[in-house]
Amino acid sequence: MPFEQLLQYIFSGITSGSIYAIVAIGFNIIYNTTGIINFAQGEFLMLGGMTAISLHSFMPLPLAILAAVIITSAVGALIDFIFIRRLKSPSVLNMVIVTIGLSIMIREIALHVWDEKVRSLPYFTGSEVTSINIMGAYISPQVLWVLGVSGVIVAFLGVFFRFTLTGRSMRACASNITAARLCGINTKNMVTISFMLSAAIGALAGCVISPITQTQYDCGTSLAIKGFTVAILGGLGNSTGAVIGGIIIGLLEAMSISIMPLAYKDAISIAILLIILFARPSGLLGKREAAGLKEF
Amino acid sequence: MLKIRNLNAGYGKLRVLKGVSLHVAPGEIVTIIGGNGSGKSTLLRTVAGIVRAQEGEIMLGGRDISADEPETIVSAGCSLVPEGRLIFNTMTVRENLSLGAYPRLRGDRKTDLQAELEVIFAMFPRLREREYQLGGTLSGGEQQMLAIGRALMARPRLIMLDEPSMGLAPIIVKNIFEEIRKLRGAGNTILLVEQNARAALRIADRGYVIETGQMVLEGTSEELLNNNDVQRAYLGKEYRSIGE
Repeated sequence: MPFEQLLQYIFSGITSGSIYAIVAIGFNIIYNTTGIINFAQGEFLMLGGMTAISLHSFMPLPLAILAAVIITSAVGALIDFIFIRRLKSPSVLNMVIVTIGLSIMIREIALHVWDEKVRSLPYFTGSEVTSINIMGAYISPQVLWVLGVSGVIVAFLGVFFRFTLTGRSMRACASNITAARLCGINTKNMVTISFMLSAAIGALAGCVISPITQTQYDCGTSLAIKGFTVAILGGLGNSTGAVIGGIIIGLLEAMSISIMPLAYKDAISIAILLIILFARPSGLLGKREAAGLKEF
Repeated sequence: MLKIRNLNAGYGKLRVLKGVSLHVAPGEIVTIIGGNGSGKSTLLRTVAGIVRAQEGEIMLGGRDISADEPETIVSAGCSLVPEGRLIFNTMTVRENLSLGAYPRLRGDRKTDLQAELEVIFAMFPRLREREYQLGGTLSGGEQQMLAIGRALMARPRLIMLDEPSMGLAPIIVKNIFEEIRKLRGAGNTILLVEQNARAALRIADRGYVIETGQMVLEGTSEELLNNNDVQRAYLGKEYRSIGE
């Protein structure tokens, strides 16, 4: 394979990989405070993208994206308030089933609100045909936007979880929920914040990828499956793992195109998911002992 | 300080505490001794709000806290050092301690955290050496110090300790109990649950004996240490005298 072509594949792999990583981080944030997988995570991306597209018809792009992030984040809070917080028996299984139901519901509502047409936000800079030449590989400026935004999200979360009181309390919930309550932390509020936060970063991701991947009422599902695979590969709850896992899966998918028909691209991540679940369910960076104690 | 009357509590349909009553006066060290499964830990967990009270009242400084959430109870001045320590393994010693002050940090962001950390570090110098180490990498004794320090960071009026000696070497148990004694000297009120009845009664003013969820005996530490039933069941006296 010529070098330029290899580079082209690597860029496309890292791009989709960083998207998967953001979806996976969204999974992780909620998993860490509740111990559940929020299967509506993909819908947050769709909602963010769709809302921004609608708003963009009458307001400038940056404002539309900001508003979309805020609205989606509010939806996340609402989901927790209405469906999760009030559960009579908040077992892991019950909550997971609630999120599966929610993902179907949100998709159907989106179908009614927006119909099934494929839409997209305009390219943030340039247009479909603009491209930047990096050492012989041609990439769209939007790819740089995706990489940049992903990097900013990861860095922001790193600072948030390490240095803010709220971030630390969320980590405390992840580490030991009983001890967190005994420290006086209102764990229910932390769950709300985690839903808002992962909805917000999901929406932001949904907006930046919209020009490349297009947005449709049901585009969240496939992203959620990829993100889930990445979260499992990296080790559930581990954000560094999510970034590494995302890039691995993105690269493997991109490379697979050169040896296998394009149609098999999605099969790669499913195959990896199965292999991990059989061989190392705790993921690359997850601790085996810890995984043994988890319900999920 | 703490007055519990006719408390019933348990897990689901299982009733563990059956009409427990006790009181702790300000400045006292009170210990609850009892065997495995007698309901000692459940009692403390109920006071802390982790286990729901089904009946009865828990008065903390004149207010019934039996229906309150754990975070409210911590803010009301009652902290539990839980059994098994339950420190945050994936966080540093410093982060563990500062989370102990969470309710006050939320209320007033200007709280001088460093000064308060210094107080804990002065009490447990080992924690200062380990300040930036992850909680999970500490030894058992250090983890117990961390758990006590974390609870103290909330500035409680009443500290409840659940089995602080569990799984620790005798010399470390001695240190920990020495620190608990000093805590009282500093004006704290302490409710201590222990399987190590001898060590607990040595530092306590009064004690209660709990069996299958009911208080069967109460008295001053002196009385309990000299009580034949207590000696046989919890102090292993007769076995020792045979040995001698």
